[in-house]
Amino acid sequence: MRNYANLISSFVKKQYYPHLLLVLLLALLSGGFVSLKGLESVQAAKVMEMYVAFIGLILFTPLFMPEQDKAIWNLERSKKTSMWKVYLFRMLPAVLVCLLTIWMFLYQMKRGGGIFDFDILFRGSCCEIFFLGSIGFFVSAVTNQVIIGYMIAVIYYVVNIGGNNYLGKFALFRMMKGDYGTWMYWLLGAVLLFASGIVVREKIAYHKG
Amino acid sequence: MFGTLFIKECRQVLKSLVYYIYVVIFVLFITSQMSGEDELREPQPGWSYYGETVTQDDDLIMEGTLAHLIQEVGRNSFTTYPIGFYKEVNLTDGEIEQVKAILERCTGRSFEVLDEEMEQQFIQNSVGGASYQAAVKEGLTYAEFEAAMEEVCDLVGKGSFYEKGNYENSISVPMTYEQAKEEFDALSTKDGLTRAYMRLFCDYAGIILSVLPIFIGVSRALRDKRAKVQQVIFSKSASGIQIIVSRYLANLVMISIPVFLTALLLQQPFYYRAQTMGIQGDIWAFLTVPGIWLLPEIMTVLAVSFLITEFTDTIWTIFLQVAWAFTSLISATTLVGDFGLKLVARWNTLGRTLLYFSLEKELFFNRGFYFLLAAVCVILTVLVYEKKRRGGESVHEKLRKFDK
Amino acid sequence: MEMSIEIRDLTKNYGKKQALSKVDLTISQGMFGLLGPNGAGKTTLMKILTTLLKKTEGEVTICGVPVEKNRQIRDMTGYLPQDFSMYGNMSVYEALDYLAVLSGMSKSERKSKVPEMLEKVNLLEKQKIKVKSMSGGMIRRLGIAQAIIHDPKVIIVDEPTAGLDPEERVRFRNLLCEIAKDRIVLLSTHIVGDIEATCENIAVLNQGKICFKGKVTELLSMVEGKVYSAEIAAVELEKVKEKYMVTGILVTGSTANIKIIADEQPFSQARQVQPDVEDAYMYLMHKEK
Repeated sequence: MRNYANLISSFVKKQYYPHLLLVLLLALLSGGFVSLKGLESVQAAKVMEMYVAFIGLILFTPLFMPEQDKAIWNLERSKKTSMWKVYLFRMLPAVLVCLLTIWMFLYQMKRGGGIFDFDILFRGSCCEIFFLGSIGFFVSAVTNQVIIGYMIAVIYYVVNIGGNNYLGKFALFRMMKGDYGTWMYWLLGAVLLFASGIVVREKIAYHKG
Repeated sequence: MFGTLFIKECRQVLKSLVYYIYVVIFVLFITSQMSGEDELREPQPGWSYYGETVTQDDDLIMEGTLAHLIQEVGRNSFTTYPIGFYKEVNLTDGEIEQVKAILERCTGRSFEVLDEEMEQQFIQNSVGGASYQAAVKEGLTYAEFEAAMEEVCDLVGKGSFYEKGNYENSISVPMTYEQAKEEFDALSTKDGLTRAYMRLFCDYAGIILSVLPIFIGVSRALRDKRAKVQQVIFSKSASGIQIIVSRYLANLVMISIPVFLTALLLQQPFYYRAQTMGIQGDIWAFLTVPGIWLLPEIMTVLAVSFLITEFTDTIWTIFLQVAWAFTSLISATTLVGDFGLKLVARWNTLGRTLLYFSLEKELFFNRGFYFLLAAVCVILTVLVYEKKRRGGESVHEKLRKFDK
Repeated sequence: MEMSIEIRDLTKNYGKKQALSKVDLTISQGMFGLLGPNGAGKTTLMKILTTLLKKTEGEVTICGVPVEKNRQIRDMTGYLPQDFSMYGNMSVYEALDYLAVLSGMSKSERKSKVPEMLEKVNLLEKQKIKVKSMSGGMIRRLGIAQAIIHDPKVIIVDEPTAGLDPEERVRFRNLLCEIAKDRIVLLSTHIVGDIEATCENIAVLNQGKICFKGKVTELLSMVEGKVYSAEIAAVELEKVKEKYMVTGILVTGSTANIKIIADEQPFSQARQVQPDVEDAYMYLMHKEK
């Protein structure tokens, strides 16, 4: 267990901390961008979906940064710990920080006199933000290029602002239109992308690049 | 040497995955947005509706704006967009009284009377009809009204409806036949139809081009470090100007090619349709319009991503520039015009030619600014590159050392 | 024009840390070996010579040109950095051609020179292979080709044989010797064997200071008569190692053949042997401590 704790802390210290700082910055600057006071459910959903959603792609896309250097990837694969475990342990701080940030935003909005259903918005936000993050995660897992991961995730966000009809149940920004029913699709998409990202990366992408 | 480097750099672009993703996304985005945009008929007398136009009439602006204010005071909920995102402002009791006094000063009636008036109007017009306009006090000048609205802004804060630039572009009224005809004539003569169509193209393309080139720029600027070729290139006799500028121009050209090609392909059917309507279209619109609207934007986005990536040796600029693009996009008070110094210049309509020509100077100033900004960023990138080459370190390396 | 690198009182500081301290060195035509442990300052010295680092103090001229004149220096030097690589998606030919452009060569020059250089480093048949699928040895050979393609007077190679297999290493050394016929080749390494086989003149750098400069034979003479070989029981090994400087051990069964450096005969069964450069280097490093 201690090994795993080391694994996480060295990843955070060497590679990941700027992204955590960025999430912190996003939270600190939120006052300038969005109001957390006196929001109704549509407005609260908008804050979560359009602003807080960025933490998903900030936190989950850069998890494969160390292996962009193929030599490091080779070395890691030669060790006893299997890669999927390494990746899962790296996801741990990402998931925790993500949940915590979402909870903090909702808590602040409630304290500011917001009128919305905390649990439902929490569930929906988590699923949606994980889903957006899982897109960046999957793409950078498969291409081994973090930049492309960010690119696709950002584009997915932009395309959704335009209100694209092709995305069906996987479209973002549903809750601010009053539709709270698609959270399980987001969750499903996130789980699928997280899992298949790791599998495709280790089974196929590694041998190609 | 420069020409050869440029060509070789273009080939490099053609070998990068990021570039192909860019092309596919750009083309898909544009074609999906541009389809079905052709409400285009010459207006005839006797139609019941000719569309709407933003009014320039002082009285109508004052009446509409005050009506808006009455509603917001009634709910004590003021909608503002300080940096683009929605922010609701609630005033204290004292402040609300001040706003009510301002209302009374402008209309000559107390807030209670106005509120009642508005309600009556809603009941009468519950099925369609004109929206409520609050008649102003006899003899109220426009300047007095402007001063009053400034006072409201001081109370409510930044980004509210009561900023001059906002209310003057927001009160729309139905067009008359004459107005519609005048618009249409301007569209077909001054704009030759295709130019107006290309302006709409630039609106959509401008949105996506505020982010896509970031990734191409970052990916290029980091490639040397990733491939471990920095040292060897540093030791060659080619100057920093030759290396950086050839890279920059090659990427710029490669990004622009799909933009202009898509513009041409979309323009052509429209050009022929204009001909069948007896209008001589401008065949070069696909070059001139995106050249002015989009090129400075692409140049800036790419140059800033080069500069910051070269300076820091990290991908941080992605976050910075995505934030910049979104702020620019959502802080626009209208989707037609409001250029200011925004990175993305919006024109989400086919036509409004007269308005365009009244705003053209503002647009040129905006685009000229970004053209210069891009040039400055490229020069700075060269300087940063030469500094690194002589043993300077990027910010990232300095932080790394600090860690140890 | 004189063919030499003159280094006078060269000092380089990184903040408070001194990487090079008052280095004095004259390097003339032929192969020159720069030996030293990892972190001794070899790469720093080479980067100063190739204009990639600014010196803190001192004077450096290459063939009469002060090192501050970036453009001129870059024109007349070829550099193979320690971790040389190229864009993975380029073919061998494209990669070399690209670097030749950066050296300011014209199209016609490149057309004749690129194949010629590839031929020289034995990569002509592999010219279509992508850089990412090249072996370490091939990348090094490409590296040397790019360093000499513009016909520089001075070639600076940093740890070129690290990571090569023995056969590749020998071939690489031979290639360097061939190139050094009418040029200055400055070779840095921490592998003593490279120097022994190729260089006549060497300098040893340790902790930023030159601790030896001269001919290989002079280095050897420092340990002349001080190297012994002996056969001892394997169990005694630890004891001997504590007492003497052991430069070689070969254990067979319960006995161990060892090589010792000592000022006098250490024990009776030890007999004197011919020293090699490695012994001399170890002796020097030991003395420095």
